[in-house]
Amino acid sequence: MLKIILVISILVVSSYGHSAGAEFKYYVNGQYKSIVIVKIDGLNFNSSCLKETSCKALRISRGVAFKIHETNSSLAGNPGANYCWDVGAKNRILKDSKNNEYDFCVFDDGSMIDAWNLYAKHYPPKRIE
Amino acid sequence: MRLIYLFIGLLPSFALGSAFTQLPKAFSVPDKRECSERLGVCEIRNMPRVASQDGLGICYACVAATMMQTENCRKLNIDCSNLEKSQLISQLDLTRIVAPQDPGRQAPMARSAYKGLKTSPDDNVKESGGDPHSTALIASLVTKKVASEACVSLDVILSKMYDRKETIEAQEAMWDRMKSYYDDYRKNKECIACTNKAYATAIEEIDKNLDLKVSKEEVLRAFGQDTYEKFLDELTGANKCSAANMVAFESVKTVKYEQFPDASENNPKKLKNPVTDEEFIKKMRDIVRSGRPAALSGVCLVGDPENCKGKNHAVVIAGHRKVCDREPSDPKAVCKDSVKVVNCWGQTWQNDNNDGWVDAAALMKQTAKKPNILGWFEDKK
Repeated sequence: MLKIILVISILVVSSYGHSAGAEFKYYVNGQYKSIVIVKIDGLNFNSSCLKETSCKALRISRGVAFKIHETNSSLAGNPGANYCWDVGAKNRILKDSKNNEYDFCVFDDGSMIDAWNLYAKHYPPKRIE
Repeated sequence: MRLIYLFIGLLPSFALGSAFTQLPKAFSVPDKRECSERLGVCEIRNMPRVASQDGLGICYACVAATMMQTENCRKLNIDCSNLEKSQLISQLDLTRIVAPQDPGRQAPMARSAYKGLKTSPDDNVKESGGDPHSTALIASLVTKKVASEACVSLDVILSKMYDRKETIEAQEAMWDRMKSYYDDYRKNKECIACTNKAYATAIEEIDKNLDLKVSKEEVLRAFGQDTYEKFLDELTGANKCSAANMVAFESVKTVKYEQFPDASENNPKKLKNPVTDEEFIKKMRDIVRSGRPAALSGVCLVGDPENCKGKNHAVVIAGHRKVCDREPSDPKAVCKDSVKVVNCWGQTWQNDNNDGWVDAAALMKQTAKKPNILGWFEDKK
C-alpha cells in the first residue's frame, strides 16, 4: 500500500516538473528500509519533502550557510558528510541498487537532503571559466 | 515551539577542494595522441561502487578497499559495479590494518598485528588515520582475506551514531573500551566475577556498535587470546565473519605492490631524488595505461602540502588524458593533463565533479612530494 502511495506521489510530482524518484536503501533501526529520493530545486531530497510544507531539509537548503565546524584532526573526513552536523542533522549513508554510497543529512523530522547538494548550495565551488 | 536557527553572519567561502579543480571549459578537445589503444588504457572502467568514508578520517581504508576490489574484479573478470555485499571489501574492516610507524620494522606477518586507528606507537596519542599503501599491501598480500560488507558495514555502524563527537570519536572510543575490557580480563583472570563482567560488557558493546551476533563462548575464546590485537580480531574481524562473508584477495600469488618515488637509503622520510609534478603525472599515466589504478596519498586539501596543517587525504587515480583548448595539431594549442579521481566522498561528489576528472597539475600542487605516495598492484615478473 505504501509503495502504491509512493508511486502515485512520484507521478504527481513528475507532473509538477520535479524528477521522478529513485529508490535507495537506508539502514535504520536494525534493518534496511527503502527510501525514494526526488529532485526539488535541483537538489536530492527524500520523498517526504514533497508532501510536507515544513520539510526542514528544504527550509535549511533555502537558507544561508552555516558555519563549518573545524575539527582538530589533521585528517580529512568527507566535508559534505561533516556539514550535516553543522546544520543540525545527522549524516547517514544511503545506497543505490549497485551499492554506490551517498551521504545524506537526516533531520529530526525525518526529512533528508543529499549532503553534497547542500554543501555545494551553501558553499558553491569556485568554477574556472 | 518555533525553532530558531543561528546564522553566523556572512561567512567566508570555504576554499575546499583546490586539490580537485576542474579544468576550464575551454579545455575540451581530447588529445588522441595521448590516449589510444596503441598506447594503452586511458581510464579504468571496471571500477567498484563509489564509497563514502563519512566524516571519519578513514580515506586510507577506503582507498585500499577500492584498490583491492578493482584487482579482484580484474582477476576474476567480473563486473565490478554490480557486486553483492558478500563480494564487497569492507573499508571498515580495513581501518584496523595499520602498519607500524617504524619503517625499519618488517611488515607484520599476521592479521592480528594491526594498531587499530592509532598511528602513533605511543598509546597515549590518539589520532585516527593510516597509510593506504601499507593497508593495501598488508590486507592483500599478508592477511589475504578481509571481511565483506555483508559482515562489517560502515552504514550499519553510523546508523547508531547520534552526534558529531560520537561519530568522529566513536570508533576510537569503542576500541579503547574493548581494550580496557580485555586488559581488565587479563589482569583479573583469577577473579571469576571480574571476568564474567568483562566479557558480558564486551558482548553488549559489540552488539550495540557492530551489530554482530556473538555467543558467550566466542567472546570467551577471544579473551583467551594472548594479545589485544588477536582478541579484537577473534571478536570482530575476519575470524568472526563466516567464510561466505569473507573476501579473499584473488591475485595474492601473482602480484606485488609497488610504490613511487623511492626513499633515500639514509632517511626513509626523504626522497632519493627530487621528483617534479610532471614526473608524478607521467607515472600516474603509465600506471593507468598498464590497466590498473593507482593510490595517491599525501593530498593536502587546505594549505601547504609539505606542511599540511589542513586536511590530509588519499584518493584513487583511475584515468589519465590530455585535453586541449583547440585541435592538438594546431601550433597554438595549449594542452593540459587531467586525471580521474575516484574519491571516497560518495557518488554525488563524483557526479558533481565531472565524474572525478580534475586538473592533474592542481592536484599535484596540493600533494606532498614524499617517498612512496603513489602505489599500485603490478604483475610479478
